[in-house]
Amino acid sequence: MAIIRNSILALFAVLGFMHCTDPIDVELDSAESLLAVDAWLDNLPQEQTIYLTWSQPYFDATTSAPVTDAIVEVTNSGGTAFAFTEVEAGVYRWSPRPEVSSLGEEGMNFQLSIDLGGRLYTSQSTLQGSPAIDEIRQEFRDDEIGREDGIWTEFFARDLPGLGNTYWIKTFKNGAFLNKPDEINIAYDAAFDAGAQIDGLIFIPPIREFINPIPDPDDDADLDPAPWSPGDNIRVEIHSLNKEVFFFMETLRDQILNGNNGIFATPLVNTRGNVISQSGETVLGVFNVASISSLEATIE
Amino acid sequence: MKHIISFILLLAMVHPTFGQDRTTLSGYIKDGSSGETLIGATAYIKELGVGSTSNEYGFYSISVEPGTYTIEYSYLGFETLSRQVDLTENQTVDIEMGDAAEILEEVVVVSEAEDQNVTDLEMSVNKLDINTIKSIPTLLGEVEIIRALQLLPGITTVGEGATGFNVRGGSIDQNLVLLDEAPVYNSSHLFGFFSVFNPDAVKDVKLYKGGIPSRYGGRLSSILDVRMKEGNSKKFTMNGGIGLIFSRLSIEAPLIKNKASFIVAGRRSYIDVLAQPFLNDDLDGSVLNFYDLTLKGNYNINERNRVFVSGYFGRDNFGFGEDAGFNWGNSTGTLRWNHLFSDRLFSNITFYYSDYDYKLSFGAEATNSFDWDASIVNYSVKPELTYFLNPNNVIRFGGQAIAYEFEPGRAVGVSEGEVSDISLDKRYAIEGGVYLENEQDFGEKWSLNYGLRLSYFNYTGKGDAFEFGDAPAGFRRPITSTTYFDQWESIETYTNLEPRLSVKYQLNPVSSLKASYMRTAQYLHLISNTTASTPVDVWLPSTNNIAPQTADQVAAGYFRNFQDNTYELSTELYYKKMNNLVDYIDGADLLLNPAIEGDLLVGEGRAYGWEVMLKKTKGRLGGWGSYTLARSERQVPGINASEWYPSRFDQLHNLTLSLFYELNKKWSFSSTFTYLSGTPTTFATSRFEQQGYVVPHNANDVRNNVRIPDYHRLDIAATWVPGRKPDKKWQGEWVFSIYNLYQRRNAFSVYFRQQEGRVLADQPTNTEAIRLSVVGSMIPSISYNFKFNQ
Repeated sequence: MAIIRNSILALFAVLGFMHCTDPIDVELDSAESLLAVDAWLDNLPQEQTIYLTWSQPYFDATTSAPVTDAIVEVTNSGGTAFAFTEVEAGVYRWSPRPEVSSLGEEGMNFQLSIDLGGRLYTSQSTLQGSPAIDEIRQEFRDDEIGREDGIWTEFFARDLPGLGNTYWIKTFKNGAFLNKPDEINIAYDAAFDAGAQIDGLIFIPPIREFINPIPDPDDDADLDPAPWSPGDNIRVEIHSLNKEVFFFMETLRDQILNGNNGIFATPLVNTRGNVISQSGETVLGVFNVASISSLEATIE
Repeated sequence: MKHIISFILLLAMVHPTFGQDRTTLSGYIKDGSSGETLIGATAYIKELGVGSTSNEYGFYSISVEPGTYTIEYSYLGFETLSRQVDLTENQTVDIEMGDAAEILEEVVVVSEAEDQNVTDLEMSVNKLDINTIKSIPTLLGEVEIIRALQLLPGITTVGEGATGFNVRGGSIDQNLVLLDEAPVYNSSHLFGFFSVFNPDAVKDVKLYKGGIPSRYGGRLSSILDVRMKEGNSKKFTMNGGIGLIFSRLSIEAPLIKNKASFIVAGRRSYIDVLAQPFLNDDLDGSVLNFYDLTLKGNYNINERNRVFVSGYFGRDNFGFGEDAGFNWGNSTGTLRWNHLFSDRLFSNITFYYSDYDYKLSFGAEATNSFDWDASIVNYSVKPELTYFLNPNNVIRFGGQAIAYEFEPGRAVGVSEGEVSDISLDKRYAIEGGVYLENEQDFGEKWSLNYGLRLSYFNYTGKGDAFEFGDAPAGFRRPITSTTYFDQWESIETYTNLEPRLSVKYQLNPVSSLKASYMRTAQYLHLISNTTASTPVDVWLPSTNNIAPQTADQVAAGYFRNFQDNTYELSTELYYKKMNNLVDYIDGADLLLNPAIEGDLLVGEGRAYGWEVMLKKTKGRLGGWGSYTLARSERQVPGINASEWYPSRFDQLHNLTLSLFYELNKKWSFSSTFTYLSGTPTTFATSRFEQQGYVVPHNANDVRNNVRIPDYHRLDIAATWVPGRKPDKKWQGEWVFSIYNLYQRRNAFSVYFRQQEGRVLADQPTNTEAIRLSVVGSMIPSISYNFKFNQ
């Protein structure tokens, strides 16, 4: 329920509750670079890409150094192996062929293996279902606290039966993924997180409405922050997540949004990935094979 | 226990005059102008060199051989009274003392009580006079008890606006905050900016940091004992103030002169009222206020019986348009009955009720809404007896029983008309305690307070009790079995024996050495892993999975007064070891989680330090300086590679200076300066990318490895009393203050974020460290206070 608390506390900020922020210089401890695996795959008949990079000092704003010359392979429980070949430095890709158009079907298990000059890294993922999106509702709303007037949207879908289904709901506005940290919309069953045990329901309202782009109050280019205008294209996708990947995303989101909590921030916590090193060192990032359901609409 | 009682009685009998015929002088010591009883006033028999201190209800009793004696009654700020008493039989002498300041203006009378710092047995105790508290410059001119306490050694806060306070390296839930004996679970309004105590209704504030007597129990680190005024029993009095944040008003009056009186005091903030005309349409209907109401009445039935009823009700309200509302607050109620069994046996029985709760609601429509509330409620009975055996022994004994009802979260969500109830079961517990203590003088030089408290806790049904399996240190433990228990059926019990000891050795009339030891046990835990505690944090009992916290603390100190008690020097060393402290796994889910115990970790703590305080008590320039050098550390398996690490409130240096200067009858000035080492925090070392997001990573997996910048701040205030005449019915004063005079942007925390806004493909993302300051500029304020005496 951290997100509920967060949204309450964010409301105080809206009221201009006295506090201020400014960037400062701080010195950080140095640390070794670690392998970061960014392996988010799906079973659609399309190219699948895995990114391998090295972690870097926190304030190093350059592009992450690629991990090159790795042997990357995904195997499904049907016995099919998919070789991911390095198409550019650190980018490993598999493309569908006529005889094998996708990675597999719901219920299948997948194994990722990375061989980096003899060092072995592995991970597992199960392809889980994602519920169909029944409707994207559009509505004109008057302004209210923290909300401009304009067209707002809401999607409707029903969580799959059984406790512990986890999803990432991604929204695309005119083809562009809404990728701000505070636009991350993940769900545990129909609600926010594991504690709630809300099963098989229509996703609860905050999740349904998290598909609206969040404007930047400080950004001058974003002076008209009404989320949607007539003619815009909206596309909502539900990606199924493995449970440990959900927890990874939950930590990731809480960490990169921690500053929004002001005086109620939590201590820095490391994400926990699901990639295991045979030699025991920490591996960053996750491997997930998702099924994707989606719905598109044009804003009227 | 039986042996201990015998032992204490035996010790008490060591006194040579025990058993002889004795006569008892007893009574109440009161403030002559208001009829308020005085706590800690002394009655001193000059000829014998013995005395008695008035207790929390103003009662004193001395038993001596018959004779004619000169009794000196003294209390700080009051003129010492001398009475000749022919003590051939038991006598009751009620004393009404006169306000020294009013009689002698600027010159404060030198009274016997002024050497209490040295002669009193108590150590690790901070008392703040309400008039001193009122002179301290404050944020927005509001008189603040808890923030005033933070100017004393050993008491810190993690930052501006943080709820609660930390005592000698303990967490905020380790302080028992008592308002007329009822515990207050959240002592703050508007997070931590203002405390819940209305200064106009407060009579006495006392904070025990160590050497806590056996009569107090239930928390590890401190007891903050706030006593409310009884209400003027002689005449109608009204106090009030108009400030930028609050307005306050209190009314006191006799119901039956000298027999019954009451006080009603209320405060309300009015930011929302003032802001309403300036709010945009979209903010219309927003609520932002906090208020509290304090009530007390007392009735002197006869010389042997007196009853008190007091209550507190406070609330913070936040509402955002029609969609969301959030409010929280405490309510307490206390009923007390003082009864004198004899001139030497004083008793009090207290019944109280205390409740802290919060409510949240989202969604204006019935088909899509979310309502959530949580609370901790308790009922208690607490009999206490004080036996004034002889001038050298004051024996106290008593007990307490508390029934708890925890509602960790009742939550109902409605999504498109589908209702899902995700409420957690209530939890129940019973806490009990019995104690016996004796305050004993051995000759001229030695004084002891020794005692024992036996505490007991029973975690009971109804509800499910869980058992958890193993997990690697720092990971969530899974539930392995669930057992249902009926109402009040015992699930787990805990017992703790808590010895307490304080010793004073008087080196000479102006200096003494003191030492103390205490064991404390705490059966409640505030579940909170944020930098500052939030109003939605939940209290949990000790369960079959969470053991009670315990602590042992030793302290030693040297106390000396200089120049006829003009200067008081106190210095103490302490070491505190704490066990079974609750911590949290990474990514812990603390709210609405039925399996929350699986997300908790258990660790140890240690805190040690050196405190020194120099206080000037007389003259037109007064004040104090306080310095603390301290460490507070934790060791928790699964955190910081299971090594010791500094706790969130480890602040090595804490220096404060408070000065008060009375220029003339009309103008007085005050200033405070605070310097605190930066609190520790955890910084990332590295970053990596995941799906376009930049994720911070702490590759060395250490906790609290760096410090945010040091905190310092200077505040000043001036008070102007336009016309001060003692007999004037209406007295007003203006208070001008500036908080954070040199506009330091003190960091509350430092956090990391990726650049704001949408990330563009194929462009590297910037990352930055952000300093969060709660108060970034100076805050001037003006307020008006008044007093009306009929």
